[in-house]
Amino acid sequence: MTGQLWFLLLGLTFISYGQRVLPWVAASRFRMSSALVSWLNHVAPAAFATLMVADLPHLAGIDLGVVAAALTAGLATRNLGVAVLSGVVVGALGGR
Amino acid sequence: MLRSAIISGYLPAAMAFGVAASTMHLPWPFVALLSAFVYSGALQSAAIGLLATGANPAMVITVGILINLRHMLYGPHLEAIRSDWARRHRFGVGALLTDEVYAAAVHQPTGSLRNWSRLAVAAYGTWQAGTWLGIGAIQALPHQWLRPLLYALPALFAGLSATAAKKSSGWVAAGFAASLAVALRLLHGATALMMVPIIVGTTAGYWSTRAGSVS
Repeated sequence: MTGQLWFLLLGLTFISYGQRVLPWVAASRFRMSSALVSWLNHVAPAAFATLMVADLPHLAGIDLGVVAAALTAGLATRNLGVAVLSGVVVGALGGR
Repeated sequence: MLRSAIISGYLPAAMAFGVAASTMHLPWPFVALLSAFVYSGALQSAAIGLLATGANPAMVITVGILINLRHMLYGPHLEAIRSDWARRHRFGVGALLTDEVYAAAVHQPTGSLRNWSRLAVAAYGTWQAGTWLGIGAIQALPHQWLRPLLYALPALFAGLSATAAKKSSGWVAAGFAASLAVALRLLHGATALMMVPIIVGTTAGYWSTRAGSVS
């Protein structure tokens, strides 16, 4: 491994750890306002929806079927495993 | 069930990363160490993609900061819902705080720290195993065997969206974020801009709550 790759590895490790841990530790030292807590409570649905779109391979064709199947199954059953299985099965059938 | 859902999504994603990095002729110790210490699929994939284009390390690190900005929101949110966890845990388990592990904590907000830590460690182990499999043996398998598994992660996040958006403001947040994320992809927006839909969606959800409480 070259020195450049070692430098890159160290840099990425530092930012990866720092971005995960430091804001959490900082938040534990301060009292958060109710407005900030309310805002933070909406991070999860926004992040999940964004990552759902970002992780789709093509954003067309069977990808939309996968999302529809997983969303429908998740809403109908409130069971995450059923939602994932539905999405993967539709993806497998559509990709054949 | 959540653990198996996360693992079923991590294994093929990590394998795909291992295969992609190996085909770019990066040294295998670098690929393995990247998974071990950076432990972020989006950041790792972007890093090897940028290296393939000849980007210098400073540029890769700058893009990496932007890609993982969203992680800066997860800790404060967990602090808001689980302030009872000791500070030392934030330094330890915080290093394993991925999108999916954060999702697990939000999905089961009353779950014990021990169960959540086990899930975080299992997810980390799966990511390492998948990377090694990708580096070593997976190139021998037909790609069509793995293709359906690439849908596991988007299906996981779709299912999480359906179960996380319990109130109408949650749907507003998810709807705004998804619409903007689709627009960004159609416009070929950089992965580093992934933070924008999350911030806009979160703010839209928050304002819809405020509007609802005022009216």
